[in-house]
Parts: sequence; structure tokens; C-alpha cells
Amino acid sequence: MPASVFVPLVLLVLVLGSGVWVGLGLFGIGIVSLELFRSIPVDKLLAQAVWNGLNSPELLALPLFIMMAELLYRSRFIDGLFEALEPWLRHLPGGLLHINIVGCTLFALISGSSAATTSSVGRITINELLERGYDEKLIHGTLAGAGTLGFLIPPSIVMIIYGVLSQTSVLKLFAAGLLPGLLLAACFMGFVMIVAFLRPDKIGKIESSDENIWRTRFSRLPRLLPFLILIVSILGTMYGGLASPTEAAAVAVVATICIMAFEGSLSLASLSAAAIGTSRTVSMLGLIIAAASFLSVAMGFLGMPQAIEAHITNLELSPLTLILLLVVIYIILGSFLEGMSIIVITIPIALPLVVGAGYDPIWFGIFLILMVELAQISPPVGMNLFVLQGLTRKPLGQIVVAALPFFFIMLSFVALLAVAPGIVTWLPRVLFG
Amino acid sequence: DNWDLPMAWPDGNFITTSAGTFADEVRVSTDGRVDITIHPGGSLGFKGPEMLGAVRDGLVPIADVFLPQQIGDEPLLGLPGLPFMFPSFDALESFDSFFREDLDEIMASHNQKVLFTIPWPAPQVWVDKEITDIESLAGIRVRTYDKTSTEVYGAAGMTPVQLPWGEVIPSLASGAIEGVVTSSSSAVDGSFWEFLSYGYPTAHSWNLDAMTVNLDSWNALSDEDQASISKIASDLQPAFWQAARAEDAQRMATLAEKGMTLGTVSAELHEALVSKAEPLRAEAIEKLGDKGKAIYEAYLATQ
Amino acid sequence: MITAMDRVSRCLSMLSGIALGCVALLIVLEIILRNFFDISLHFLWEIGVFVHMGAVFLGLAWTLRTGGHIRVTWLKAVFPRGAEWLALLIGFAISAYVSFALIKLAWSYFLSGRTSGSITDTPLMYPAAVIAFGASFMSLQILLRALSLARGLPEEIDPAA
Ligand code: NA
Ligand code: NA
Repeated sequence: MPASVFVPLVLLVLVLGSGVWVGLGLFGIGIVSLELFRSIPVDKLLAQAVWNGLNSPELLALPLFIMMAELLYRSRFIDGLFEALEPWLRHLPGGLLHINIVGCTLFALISGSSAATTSSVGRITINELLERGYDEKLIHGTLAGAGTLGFLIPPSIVMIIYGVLSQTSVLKLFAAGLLPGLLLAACFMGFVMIVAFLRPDKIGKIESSDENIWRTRFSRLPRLLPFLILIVSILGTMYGGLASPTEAAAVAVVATICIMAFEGSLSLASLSAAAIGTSRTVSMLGLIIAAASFLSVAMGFLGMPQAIEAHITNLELSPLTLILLLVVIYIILGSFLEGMSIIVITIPIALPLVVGAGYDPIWFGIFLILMVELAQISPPVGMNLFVLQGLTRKPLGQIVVAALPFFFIMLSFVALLAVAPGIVTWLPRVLFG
Repeated sequence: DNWDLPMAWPDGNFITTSAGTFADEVRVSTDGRVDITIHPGGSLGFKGPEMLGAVRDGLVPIADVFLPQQIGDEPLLGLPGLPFMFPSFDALESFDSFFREDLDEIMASHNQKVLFTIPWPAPQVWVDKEITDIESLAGIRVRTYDKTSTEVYGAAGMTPVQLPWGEVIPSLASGAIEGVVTSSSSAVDGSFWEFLSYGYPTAHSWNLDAMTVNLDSWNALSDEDQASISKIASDLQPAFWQAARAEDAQRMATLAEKGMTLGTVSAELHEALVSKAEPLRAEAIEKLGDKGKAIYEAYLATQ
Repeated sequence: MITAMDRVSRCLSMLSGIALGCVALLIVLEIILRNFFDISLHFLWEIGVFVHMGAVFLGLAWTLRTGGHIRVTWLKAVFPRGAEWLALLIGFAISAYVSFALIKLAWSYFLSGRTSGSITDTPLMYPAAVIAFGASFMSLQILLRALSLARGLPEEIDPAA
């Protein structure tokens, strides 16, 4: 391996390990690698990459969904969702851990981003579950895993980017993601049930259950109303032809403010706290996106994609081995890079290889989304891990361990999609031929 | 030398393919002394509007510069994209040779040299209903992509909506927009037949790409290599223009095959569109300054 | 000094949150205008993107001050003080480099008078200057953090404070 490929990888481990802020650290790795191996004006390249990385209308949905989550956090909507789902889920094996999974699945239907899904649902559920005696690791793990559904279940920012870059229909991708998303959620729930069976001590206690459970279930259903209003305001404006997907996110923000006004949680204090909360998350993610886009430019200049492509083409692999190899490569890349960068860097190399091996670009899109989701929960750089770290203020290592079982569930799920690609292609074929 | 060549267009796009042909011939004729690596789909991190600056500042030695996107940096590059400037592909091609000397001069002032140019098929209007006259355009929510297209179709009575490309397909599917202004290439890429039924070759403007090389990188080459690269570029340019025509024809055939009605723009409709756009053109020329006006008038004199 | 910086950082963060909120309101206005009055606010996407870029950078300092930026804390768990100094040193060097690069970008946009070339024709030096300012402000905040560390003051404060 040439030094220009090897050194940046070593730097990545050293710099991030030093404890410097990840966004700044990614910048540093790119700066040092380019200064060492290329004679170009690195400062100009950096400024341009920062500008280009953030100057992207497709990203605008991100702050809007974050703002909605910040507003929701300061409304009573949180308790409503919890109370409405709780009587339905409390008697399942694993009890309220399923709230994380079901909550994320529902939230993914209105959110285009994994980070926003994880943080919104996590802020709602972490404390409630801790109070009820659930195992901390399982709480973090289910959140980290199910939060990634924000990308797989439509709408999805990453799918839009893949669709644009690979020239595949975004609508078909959306349709293709729905079934795998729901199946994966079911797998997560299955895992929780197995754990509940093996380790009942990790599951919290059921509160007073002498009342009539069915009456509780139905009497609490109206508390889902704000959630329904939100889904309708997003899907309704979008599918009703009133707004584009990003615009629908803005509608959701305004709808959330209206819900807050109606339930009486709207105040200057809650609005300003939401404004600052939004700014903090937007800054944290934005710095990493900017740095990651610079780092991916730097890698392009160091010839990494070409070096990798050349190696793979030489191997002359069978289709299934190719996918296996790609899984390994994506896991390595996904350890260090943020999802958007992984897609942008690898599509030019991987898509022709995969299509050449006979795979459907739509299938590969969903495969790639799952790889990006794995990247969200693999250390040292994983957006969902960071979001959870921000929420819980626990050491990153502890969150990584908590997410590990879900990492392997998703990996097995990828294997399932590889042998049964129909799970992905069935719905888009039925809908769009 | 290894030259990294950033392309905003994806792999498989006809301009990317043309650049590949060029790179191959250059590699052979210079015995590998100039080895161009193409980075398609913005994979090197350059998306388009900054290509001119990237070559100027030496961030990359060579790039495919999409001229209409550079007008914030160099307004004169907006000249070929003025509203309703060329009635046909042939007219565009003759303008290209007329304009080349000025283009060389403009690019030289940005520390770069033009190797060849390559056009995009003209943008058309893709809509969900039949267009017969200017009245039938009224109120159609149409996605436009820049200042010129927004103003031209706004003046024609449509409701232009600027959306990023990623939002176009879902918006078409939901009916949030009822039409799109774009080339036949993008119409096929976006599977427009899933949502729209008609295409009209309004050709309100034409878009040129230029392959330019940084002058420092260029001057570092031997005279012999410079001569052979220049020759390859000028020899290949007609073929690339032919490729653009073929691209349009082939994409139009695909669209027809998929069931889209490829309409025509009647003389009256064209007349009406041009007259509505006339003040916009006058204003745009005014903004180009004296030099731009001089080039424009000199070109008109040749017509 | 530190308190004054914190107040300014917090105001900038608040400002970016409010600006993003205004973008959301404008988008809803656009949806209403477009669907019921055939009017479209063409500047909206572009302004929205600029506001997002500005918000990212204006919020950097307060996010750093309140511990919102993500870091790997393995080393810090073992050597709390030494690791913090190391992170501050490397972090400041990188942040200063990035700030310097962004200041140069803004300056080059100022010199060339480059605009977005779009319907708004925004001179790019304005958003670029905001971004450069936000990055520089974060660099300053890192220095103050070093000062806090040297004087034994808390390096991070609660965002709700
Ligand atoms: Na989603
Ligand atoms: Na990762």
C-alpha cells in the first residue's frame, strides 16, 4: 500500500484518539495528508470543500427536522406518545424497550435523518426507561439501532442523494426502503424479546396492572393525536402535491409550533431553548459534514478510490463474493467516515462494479443505505453514537458496546437481502412496474 | 504528470464519456507523460460553480467548466446562454467558432486555456398537458434551474419554482410541480414519463461546457506535448459536438418510446415567447458591460 | 472576559436558531403563496442554504463551550488534564488553520466581487464572511477554554444555564 493511502489511515486513528473534537480532527487529517503528499494550495482547497459541502439545498431538510425534534422535546407531545404506546407494549416480552423501536419506526416515517430520529426518540425515552429499571445498555442499543431506520424508512435524505448520484428513481428507492425498514424493526423487536427471555433481570418492572388494560389502551389513544397531525401535515402536504419533501419538513416545524400553542407548552422560554438546541445540533453536525467533505476531497486527491478500485478489479470475484468484499470495505470506511461522504466517495467505484456483476441499482441503493446505517453505529466515527453520547453524556466506549448487538443484527439483515433481493425489489415493482 | 480532472456530471454522461476519450488519446500521444484521471459525479468535491476558480487557483490542473454556472465569477461567460440567442444547434455551433477567440481571452484572464468546448442539448419544457399557444402555459408550476430560466418562463406566464434536483422527482410525483425545464438527458435520467406526458423544444437558451487547463500546468509541458494535446482537442471537438447531437436524438427516441408526446413549438408560440423575453435579454446584455455588448453586436452583425 | 465571550457566543447561537426558524416560516409562506396565489419566492432555497451555512458556523463557539461537539474520550478518561491540554493544542492549531482558510476565502470573494450568479445574485463575500467569523470565534473560544483550564475554572458549562 502506498504511503499516501496508509498514512491518512494511521493519522485518523491517532488524531481522533487524542480526544480532539471529531469535526476539527477530520480537518486535521486531511490537512496533514495533503501537505505531506500533494503540492496544492491546501487552504484554498479546504475553504472550497467546506463551502461546497454545506452549500447544498438537499441538506436544508436536516436543520428543519432537528428544529422539529427540539420543539417536540419541549412540548407535552413526548409524554403523550409514551403514554399512548406504553399500555400496548408493556406486556410484550421486553416491555417498554419496544417503545424505542416502535417510536423510531414511527418517527422515521416523518424524519429523513437517522441522527434526528435517534435524538428525538432518545430524548423522549431514555430517562423514562431508566426510571422504570430497564438496563441502560439495552436502552442505548435499541435506540442506536432503531434510530438508523430514519434513513431506511422513507423519507430519507441519503436515498435522495444516492438517487441523484446514481441516476435511479428516488421514488422507487423510497418504496424499496419501506419493507426492509419494517422488517428490520421487527428483527430488532425479536432480539429484544429473546433478551427478555434469557435475561429477565434487564427488563424493567410493569407498573400496577390490575386496571382494565383494554380500557387504558383505548382511553390513551387520543394522546397520539399530535403525532397523527404531524404525520398528516408532512405526508399530506407532500403526497397531496402541495410541497416538496424538504418543504414538508418546514410544514412540520410550523405544525409542531401550532400543536405546542394548542396544548399550552408554547412560551418564549421554550422557543428560545429550542432555538439554541437547534443551533447546537446543527453546528455539531455541520462541522462534521464540512470536515468530512474536505476529508473526502483529500482522499480523492490522494488517489484512494482509484487505488481501491484497481485492487478489486484485479481480483475477478463472483457476484456474491464481491458483495461480501464490499461489506468489509464499507464497514472499514464506515468506521471513520460519515454516511453522506461514504456514498459520494464510493458510488463512482462501487456502482459500476456491482451493476456489472448483475445487481439492480435500486437493490444496491438499499444495500448502501444499510451500510451507511452500520456506519452510524460503528466506532470511532458514528453519528448515532455521537448523538447518543450527546444525549446521555456517557463514555463513547460504553455506547459502542451497547450498539454492538444491533450492528450484528443489521449485518445479518444485509446477508438476508443479498440472498433474497426480492424483499427490496418487490414493492417498487408492484408500484412502478 | 497525473492530472486530476473533476467532472460535475456522472459516469456514463456523454460529456464524461467524451472527456474519457480525450484523456485516453492524450495518454497515448504523450506516452503517459500527461495521465488524466477523471473524477465524475462531483466525486473530487467540486460541484460546478467553482470549477473556474479551481482551475485558476491551481486546485486542479484541468476541469470541465460549465459556463452558465460561472457568471457570478465571470459575467461574460453568460453570453452564450442569453435567452433565445440561437434558433438551432447549427447556429450554436457557428457561434462557438465565432466566440472562441474571446472565450480564450476571457479564460486566459482566469489563468487557464480552453482545450475544447462541448454543448448540452437545449433545455425543453416538460409538462403534463398539451401546449398550443402562450395562454396554455398560464399558471403551470414549472421547475426552473437558474435566473434566466426562472425569468423567461415567468415572463411567459408560468409559475416558475426553483427546486434542487433532488426534490424534483418527489414533487413531480405528488403534483407539487406540473412541469420541468431541462434537457432531454435529464428528462430520461428522471424517468419523466412516469409523471409527465409532453415535451416542447422551447430552447430558451443553450449551455456550453469548456475543458480548460491551468496555464501553469500547461506551460510546464514540453512544446511537443502542448502541440499534440492541442491537436487532439481540436480534432476531437467536432466529434464531441456530434456526440451531443446524438445524445439528444437518442434521449428523445427513448422518451418517445416510453410514451411521451414530443411536440413542436409553433411559430406563433415561439414569437410570443421571444417577445416576452426580449426585455430580459436587453437587461442581461446591459449587465455584461461594454465588452460583452461589443461581442454580442459583432456576433449579430455576422447573422 | 470569559463571561463576555460566553454571552456573545450564546447570542450568536440564539441568532442562528431564530434565523433557521424564520426560514421554516418563509417556506410555509412559499407553499401557501405558490398553491393559492401562483407566486413563488425564488430566493428562498438559496437564502435557506446560506442561513444553514451561517447557522452551522455561528453556533460553533457556544456548542464548544457547552460541550456539544463530539469527541473520543478514551484518553481523557485516563489522563483528564493531560488529554485536555493535548486536545486543546491540536484543536486550536486545526481551528486556526480552518479559520485562516475561510478568512482568505471571504477575502478573495471580496476582491473578485464574485456573486452567486443566481436569481438573488448575492455577493458571496457576505455569507463567506459570516462563516469565517464563526470559525474564528470558535478558535477564540478554544483559547479561552485553555485559560479556564489553566485557572482551574470549569471548561464546559450547561447549555441550559
Ligand atoms: Na425516514
Ligand atoms: Na462509523
